Amino acid sequence: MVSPLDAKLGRDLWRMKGQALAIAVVVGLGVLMLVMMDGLVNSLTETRDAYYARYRLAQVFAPLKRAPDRVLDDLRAIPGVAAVEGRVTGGALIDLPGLAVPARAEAISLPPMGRRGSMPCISRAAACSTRPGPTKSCCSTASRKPTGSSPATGSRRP
Amino acid sequence: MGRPPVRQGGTLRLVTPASDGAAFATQGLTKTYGAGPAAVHALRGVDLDVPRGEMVVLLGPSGSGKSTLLNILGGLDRATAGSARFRGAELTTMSDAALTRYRRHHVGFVFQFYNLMPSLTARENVELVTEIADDPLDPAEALALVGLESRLDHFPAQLSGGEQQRVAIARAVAKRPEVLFCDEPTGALDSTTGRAVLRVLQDVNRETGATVMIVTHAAATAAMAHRVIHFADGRIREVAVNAAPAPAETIEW
Repeated sequence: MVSPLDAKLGRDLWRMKGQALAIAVVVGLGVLMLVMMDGLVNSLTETRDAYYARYRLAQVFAPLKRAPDRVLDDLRAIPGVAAVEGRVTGGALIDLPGLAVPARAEAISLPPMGRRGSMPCISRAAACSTRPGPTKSCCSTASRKPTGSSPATGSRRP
Repeated sequence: MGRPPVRQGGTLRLVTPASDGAAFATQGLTKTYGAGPAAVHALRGVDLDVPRGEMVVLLGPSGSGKSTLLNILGGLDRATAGSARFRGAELTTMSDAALTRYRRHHVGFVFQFYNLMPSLTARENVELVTEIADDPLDPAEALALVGLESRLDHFPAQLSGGEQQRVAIARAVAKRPEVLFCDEPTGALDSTTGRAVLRVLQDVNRETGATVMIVTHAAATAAMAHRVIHFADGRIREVAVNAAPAPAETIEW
């Protein structure tokens, strides 16, 4: 036997079926969007993590000044650090053909054992009619002080 | 006055000496709405005894305190001061839960505008009450008591005003209340239909033994009551006892 309150609920819902359907659709779409957005965020997070893992991109970049190479050993000893790599970076002004004024460049040293695929992109340099190989004269504070700056990059152990 | 109520199994049980025939007794009952200069004194110290099983009519102009007294005795409102006892149980100090039990198990209400659920049939409107009452009448039996046995499955919109009010009475009676409160039960009805409703109330009083308290503006209704209480300005002006109540069918207004 149907309770009178259940009967009232059913009849009231049937009487306002248009509104009830519209509310159900809005709630359904809301849930759908929530599920889609959650899946999208999870997918992007996993893609980012996979990308970082595949290309061994550092999780931490720590700019240091006047840091000798032995600092790298201290950094490797920190628990959770999987790898540490040091680079020398510095700003420089270089003369490029076709440019009336010197171009501002960011000089970054390459690792000792350069791997294929790890070379820097030179599309910007190519746009300026340069190519790898030739040397350029430049005015750089970094080049004059080999131990002047030594950015250390590190990555966590997986 | 009666002994205090004893709560048993979640229900308010009222223990009253057999010699105590009063359904209600009030002393100095006062109700004030608001405060300060804007205060409205709805009741100004009402002393009243209502014997059990009587049909009582409360008469008086609008704002004289009739409905306020009914609401306090029915557990719908609380008094500002004074005492109101139902078979010895003090209503003015009851908790909200105790008042809910009191309303659920001891009193029925009939209002001027029926207050029926429009999406439920007459039978289902009565079932709303019988589902939560301890020892209810069968809904069909309650509707037969008010002469609606052939209208069980009609919705309120398919019933006349008088029939809707009779459904409301059936709903109030179905839980076998000891007291039936009626606030202007004929206020929205023509005299012929109103007379039929009053006859139903008189039948309920006679057949179930319930105390029936009717608030009305229709002075002619006094003829059918055992006791008529005249209200004016928040006070009882006069209480008249009618030794020979007239049948409702003979009332004209």
